[in-house]
Amino acid sequence: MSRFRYAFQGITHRYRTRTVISEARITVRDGQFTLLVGDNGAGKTTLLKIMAGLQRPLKAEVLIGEVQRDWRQWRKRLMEDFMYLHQQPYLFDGSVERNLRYTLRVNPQSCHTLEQAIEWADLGSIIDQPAKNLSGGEKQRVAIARAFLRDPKVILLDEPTANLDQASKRRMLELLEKLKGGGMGIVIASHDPDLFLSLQDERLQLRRGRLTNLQPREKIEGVDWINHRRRSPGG
Amino acid sequence: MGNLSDALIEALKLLLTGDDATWTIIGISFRVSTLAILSAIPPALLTAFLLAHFRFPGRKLLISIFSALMSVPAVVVGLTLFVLLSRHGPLGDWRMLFTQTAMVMGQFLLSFPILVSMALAAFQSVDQRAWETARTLGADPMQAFFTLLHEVRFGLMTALLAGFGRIIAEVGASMMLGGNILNYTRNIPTAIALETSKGNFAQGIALGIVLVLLAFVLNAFLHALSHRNTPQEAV
Repeated sequence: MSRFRYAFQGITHRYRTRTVISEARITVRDGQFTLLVGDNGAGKTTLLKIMAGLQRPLKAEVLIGEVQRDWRQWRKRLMEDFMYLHQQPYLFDGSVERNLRYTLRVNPQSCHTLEQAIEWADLGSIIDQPAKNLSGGEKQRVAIARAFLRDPKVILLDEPTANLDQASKRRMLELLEKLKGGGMGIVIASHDPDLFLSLQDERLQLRRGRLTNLQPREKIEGVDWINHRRRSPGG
Repeated sequence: MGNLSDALIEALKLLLTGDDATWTIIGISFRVSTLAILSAIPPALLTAFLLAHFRFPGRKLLISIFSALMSVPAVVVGLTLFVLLSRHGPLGDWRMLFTQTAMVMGQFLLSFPILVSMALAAFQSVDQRAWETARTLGADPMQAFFTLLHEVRFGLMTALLAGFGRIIAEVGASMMLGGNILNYTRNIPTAIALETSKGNFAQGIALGIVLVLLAFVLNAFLHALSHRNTPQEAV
């Protein structure tokens, strides 16, 4: 995968009179794993959708390569290069195979095949099942397999491990690790930050509309981020 | 009682022996109503989609108007178009009054609000994630629109059958706009009205049987569709 860098600047968004995001800056690079934390309603989903080109911000500028433009001018490019995954993935009516084939149909240039995606995400046992009847973990795997086929530069995941059991979380982590290893940029909004300690390169916090960079990865190790205190060496 | 049973036997004979006059009337009915519903489907689906997915001033008023128009009497639609198409009306130069085209126009107007309102309900039954998923997977707006149509196909089929059921049996607009001309604009409802007034119950009953059978078939279809339509997942 080629090297890339997307720098979002001055992202501002309002719902009626409430400013949910104010002058936020975020940069995404190839192979970079960014964890986005924040309380419920802090605007994490809105931020991810703006980055994916799905939601129009009040104001935002994007620097791609050396060219800085208004978000609206880059929107088509963002939709091509970014992919957004909902907290509860929407799978189309029909089988798992139909969902994967759909992704291939709208991405005829995909460098992956259906068989590769099935093997990559270990979907062989559920490939013929109706997608709407799958468990939460299985749906997430299908959604990630669609991302594998779509092969965007950056994948944006909204609470991908919410309501998943431990085994499903582990499988999700494995798949994300493979995507990161392949050079895909990953941004994850999550209430489960400890889960991604081994992968994350950067941790951002969205609070009262402000996006702040917490600590780089080297300083994150050994910190209990849920309780915001340093762990004892043994624990 | 004897007259009624004689008329019923005669009616069945007319249908089963392929009586030319009776089957011509049936053919005209189906041709006009099929043309009307087919021409109403594309603009109605587009209108319903726009109403479901975009917020603009007057949207709620438009939805209320379409909902109210569902129950407008056919004769009022016929009267309105009659005034417009009559020789001294604003569209009198088109010379369309008492033609099948005028009947199609009347039935188009009758079915349009039904199709819009029911298709709108179908589009609204699928949450925003379906559209966003299609777009973020790489579908262009047109591909995403057709993806959405596929997702709500059972709801749309229900709308189609309801619209067709309404216009195939309406008498007011067809009588006023078609003029009940034999072998040209005489359809099932207008023929029933005429033959019954002349005391020719056999043909009226024969045509009535066709409408009743059609109602049964359409309802069976609707019933089958409602069973096939898997409920949307809870979000």
